[in-house]
Amino acid sequence: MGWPNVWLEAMARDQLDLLFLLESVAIGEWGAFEGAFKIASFPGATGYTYAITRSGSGFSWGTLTPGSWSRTYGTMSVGIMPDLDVRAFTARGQAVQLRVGYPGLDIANFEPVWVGSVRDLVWRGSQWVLECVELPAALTGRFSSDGDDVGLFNSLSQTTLADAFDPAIDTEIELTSTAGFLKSDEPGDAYCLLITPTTGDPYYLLADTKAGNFFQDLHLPGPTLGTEIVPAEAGDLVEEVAYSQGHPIRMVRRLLESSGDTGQNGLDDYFPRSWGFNLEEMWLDVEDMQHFLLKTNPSPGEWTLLEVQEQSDALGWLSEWLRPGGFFLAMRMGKLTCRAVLNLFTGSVTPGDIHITDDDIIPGTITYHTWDPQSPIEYERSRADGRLVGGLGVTTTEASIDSRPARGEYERDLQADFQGTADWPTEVVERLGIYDMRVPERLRFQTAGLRCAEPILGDIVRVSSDHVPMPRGTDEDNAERRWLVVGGGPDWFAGYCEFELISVPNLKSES
Amino acid sequence: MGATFWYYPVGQPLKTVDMNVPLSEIIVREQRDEVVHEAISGRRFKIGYSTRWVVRVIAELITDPDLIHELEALCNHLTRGGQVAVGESNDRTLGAFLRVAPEAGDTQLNWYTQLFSGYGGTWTPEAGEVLLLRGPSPRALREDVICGGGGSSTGATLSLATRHDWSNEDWIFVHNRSFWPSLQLQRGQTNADLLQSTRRIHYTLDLPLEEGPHALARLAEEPESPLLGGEIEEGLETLDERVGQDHAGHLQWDSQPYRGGGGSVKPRWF
Repeated sequence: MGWPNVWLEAMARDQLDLLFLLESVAIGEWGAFEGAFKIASFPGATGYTYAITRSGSGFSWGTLTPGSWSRTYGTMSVGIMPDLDVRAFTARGQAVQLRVGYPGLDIANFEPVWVGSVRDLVWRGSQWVLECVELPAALTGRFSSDGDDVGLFNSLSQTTLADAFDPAIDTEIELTSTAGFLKSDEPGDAYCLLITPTTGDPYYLLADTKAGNFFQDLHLPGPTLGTEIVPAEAGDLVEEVAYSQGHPIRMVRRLLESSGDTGQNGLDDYFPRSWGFNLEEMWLDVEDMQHFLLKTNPSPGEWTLLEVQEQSDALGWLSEWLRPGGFFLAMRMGKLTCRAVLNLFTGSVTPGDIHITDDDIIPGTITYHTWDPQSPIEYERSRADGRLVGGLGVTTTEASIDSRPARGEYERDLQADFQGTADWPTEVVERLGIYDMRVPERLRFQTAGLRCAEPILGDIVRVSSDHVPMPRGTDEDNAERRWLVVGGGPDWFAGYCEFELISVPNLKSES
Repeated sequence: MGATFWYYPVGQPLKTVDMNVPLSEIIVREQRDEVVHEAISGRRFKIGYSTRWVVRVIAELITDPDLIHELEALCNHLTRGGQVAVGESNDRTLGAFLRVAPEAGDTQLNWYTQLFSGYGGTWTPEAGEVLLLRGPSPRALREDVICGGGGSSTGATLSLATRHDWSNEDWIFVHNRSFWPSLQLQRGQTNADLLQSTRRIHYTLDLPLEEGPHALARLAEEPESPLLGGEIEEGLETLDERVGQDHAGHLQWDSQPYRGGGGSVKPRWF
């Protein structure tokens, strides 16, 4: 659910007074964030201390890099009056939420615009400045104050075979101990073991049932997840694997929601406790995730989570897992979401059909790059490969432009795609290929006021301006041209929005 | 009846400094913290964050040595961060919160207890007297109204109807246009030459004062706080002490609530 229309209409007014509330919030259930505070930019908000100052307050925004689709993350700084020592109420890592309203609006209806995690509290210019990073960047570890419980998948265990295992004969496998071996409760998921046999390569073995020291209802004969199941001997290493199958965005929801108590925290609370962040569902933009899931949904459309090690940098691990498919984490309207880079020409214009015109753009702020400085290479071909042996890769080709540096092929390895079909490679190439085979144009500008505060990374907006150069290499009309948002956002304390956009010319017309 | 200052010296009750002569000048203006961005088409977006009032008070040709000593003490109080109330007349010190938000065309105002009777005594309206209505920052809606003949210490009949609909304001403060109850030195003016001598023949008092964006709201919201914001000082009279427990902190609107409709809607600051 996004911002309500009445609030959006207020933000779009030519004349507006803004009020702010900043407060600590609980986003996990383990009490990782001690203390609490509620401060406001105005007096009289019941329960809030009047302490926010505009001086020292501001935003920086995260970016999305074309091609690799890697991310940087945004920050928020909030100036606080010097007579309130916030150190008594805050802690590093504490989750905070900024809400915005206007005179006459009940504070209960102030809308969340930003949520993140405290990184520092700085004394600067005779006042305090609370420095925070946006929520996605706070996912470096699970929300726990127990140092042994912060790593993702920290409960993964290992043991040895208690008895020899022959997949041609045995219908169950006996381990020295099965204690700690867990599985996802998502229907269709199974226990997953990584066995390193005395002879042969390590392989995965799936089982539906755990009984005592035995795993039963084995998925035989294999191969399983690209590995051949071979005999193993007593004493061979057996490792627990975090395993699940599903659309990557659903997998993100499982990772974010899972509490270890199936179904207690949203519809995707399926994973064992240490596999998930137990982020309350209210902090997830479920609608936005669903929108991008439906836009990137080949049939069958599953990726496979397959992890055997504890991840001390959960954000880095998750970002790398998502990146080959152009998926990324983002913050939208004060909630966490997972989005996908869409094809500029076939993807929907989001959100809410934002159309930026010369009624919005601040003169003198336009910077246009004919060739995106962050995309130095143009590729003739764009290719995506599933993980299973045999390739199943899909390639799309466009004629390159001789006048620029060019290379043959940009290749994406979809490490989590074990489907054994061309569905995902096809989907990914069709969606991302256009950004590989033409160096994008890049456009940066600011818009006056907060009418254009909605778009975030991954949105596709329309821009019509007499002051933006025409698309390169074509004589096409510049009206309502589509651009992908790769940076920028609203600065609520400065009253403008910044946009960092890329677009690609019509491939056919430029070749 | 001259211009008067009120403040609390360290450890002392309210001090009244009566100039016995009118001020040479009192300049009042709004200072808004806002951003204005203009689009290429010329469309303007203005976003307000807070509003403060700047009040510059000037008195010239001061020759009374006793008064000069009093003003020296007042200037020291201000440079230490203290607050002061200023009135062009020592008996016109109305300051109160309205009971009912007026709508455009209303000719009657009613308010709660006059908070500053301890400064200038009981206040009753005089025909032609100018009052100022003010709402909270950052919108800072304001309107001059003129008293007609009728009224009492808790209300006045206006000779000219109100122009604005005030029903969306969280609170409304009414005070004499020439009475400013909660001022302090403007930011950056701590080292200003507030009381200047001309060959020791006469003195000029030039006070660049301001009312913080939320001084009035604080006055209403935090009845325990000193009336003149003297948290840096000791022994100050509090709003509770000033207006009594039966009033401060227990303000309730009459049957007609602010922000029109809703019946039980209370101002946000309670």
